[in-house]
Amino acid sequence: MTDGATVRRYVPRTTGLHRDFYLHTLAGGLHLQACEDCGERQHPPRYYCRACRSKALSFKAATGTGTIYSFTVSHFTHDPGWAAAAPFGTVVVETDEGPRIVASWLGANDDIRIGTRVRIVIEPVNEAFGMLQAEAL
Amino acid sequence: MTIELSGSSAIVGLGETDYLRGTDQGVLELVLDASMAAITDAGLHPEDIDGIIPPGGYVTSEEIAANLVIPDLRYSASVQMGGASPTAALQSATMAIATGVATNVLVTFGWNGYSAFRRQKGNEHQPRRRGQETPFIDISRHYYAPLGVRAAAQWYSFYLRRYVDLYDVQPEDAANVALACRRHAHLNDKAQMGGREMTLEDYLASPPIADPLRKFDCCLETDCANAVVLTSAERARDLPHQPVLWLGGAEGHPFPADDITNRLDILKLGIDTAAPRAFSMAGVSPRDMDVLEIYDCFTYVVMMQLEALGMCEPGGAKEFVADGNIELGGRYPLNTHGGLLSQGHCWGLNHIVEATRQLRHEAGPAQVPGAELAAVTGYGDLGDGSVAVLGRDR
Ligand SMILES: [Zn+2]
Repeated sequence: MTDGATVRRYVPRTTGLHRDFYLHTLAGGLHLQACEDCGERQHPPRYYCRACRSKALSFKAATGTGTIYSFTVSHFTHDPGWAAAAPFGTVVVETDEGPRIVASWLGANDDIRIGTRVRIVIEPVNEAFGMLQAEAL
Repeated sequence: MTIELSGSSAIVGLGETDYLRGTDQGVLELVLDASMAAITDAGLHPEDIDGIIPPGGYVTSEEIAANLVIPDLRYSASVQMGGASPTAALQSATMAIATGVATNVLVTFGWNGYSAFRRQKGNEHQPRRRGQETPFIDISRHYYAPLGVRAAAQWYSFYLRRYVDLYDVQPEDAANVALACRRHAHLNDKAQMGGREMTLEDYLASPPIADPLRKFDCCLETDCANAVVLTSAERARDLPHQPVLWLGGAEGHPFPADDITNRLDILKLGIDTAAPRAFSMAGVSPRDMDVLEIYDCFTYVVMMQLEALGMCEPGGAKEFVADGNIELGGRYPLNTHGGLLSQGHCWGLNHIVEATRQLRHEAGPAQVPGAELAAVTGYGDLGDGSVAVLGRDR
């Protein structure tokens, strides 16, 4: 996904727990928040566990695999940096740990199917952000 | 102590600007013009207004009060639910009136929904207000926007894809919503798409935007403002127009509201929890409605709301919208002004304006004969919902 190089894509200046998510994920593959009290995994990261409201949360490595839960193919985007890539696929992946993440689809748009097994691939963009991408297993 | 809200307030004044694609008027001026029109329509003066509820971001209560010369503003609030805000604000206004905090409340919204995103000759020196950061900004900017996913059409497609797959909803089904709104727009002098014919073939030929949405599933970018004035049902009966009572209403928020993808049930919207509360308060059933004014940011989202409202069973919307049922002359005329799809996008305050006109029996060629009850929905951000059940005062 290096097209659109002439026009820069939006890159977030990551903050707070979301920055922590990307720092862990850049360093060691997809990470998800885990509750030290009840074991719940959650995403996006929060300050309290969604199952028991504990604050004892930390980022733990995930398998990085999952299943396509939903998707869209965008023929239009507000981001000029993505315009050249249109139509592009975006998938919602249900990770094997449970929480769902959004990822760019690496592959032909016609091949996107709900239920397809995928692997998450991280493309580093800067020291505190990497793009989440998904490819078929 | 519980205060009885149902039927305690009434909409007594309406104001709207034109619905334009391009204007040299900034949002504040648009809002002031609509507000002044609504106050005048109510038979009131600006100094009679003591409560103002604009949605957050574009204009403030204080700017409105300063310009309209309202020296003693007693109540100001904003609802942070995107397009669900104006309809939810009717509940806030009613609470303020029923408790005596305020007497006459102005609910308004306006935006440069077209011009703020485009520099045009003639408007270079207008302030280009785009609204404030959305309540889900943290999630959106960290997890959606970096993937080129920055538009409502893209966000909602994550659940619309599940919806169309689960119930086998075809483009021809959603087209019924777009075509009904377009036919109704032809009856409305203020509708952007009035006189511009759309056929099923036109709809199917419109370009894809974000699967499953195509161009004619999407609402119109618009520069406009609307305003309504509410007061107590009692005072309403002394004002010039037939009062339209707020019989019940509610807001609802999906969980979690700030992230679409990790909901327990991705097909449950705020409307799902708001609707039963609103109809229960009003003491009427969804099937009793004479007119439906449903927030039509996208055709398929209308279908999901019809199911959430209880107009039909889950998955039943494709039959509900078929065979002219939602067109004038059918059992449940929907968006008789043309809606966001064909009149213009005023965050659904234009749906409240139209429902009120219908219940006043002042809707002109789009009038539903003898209309007594109307349901209005608001929908916004990542699926927040609001409902108002309005009734003609007898
Ligand atoms: Zn826990």
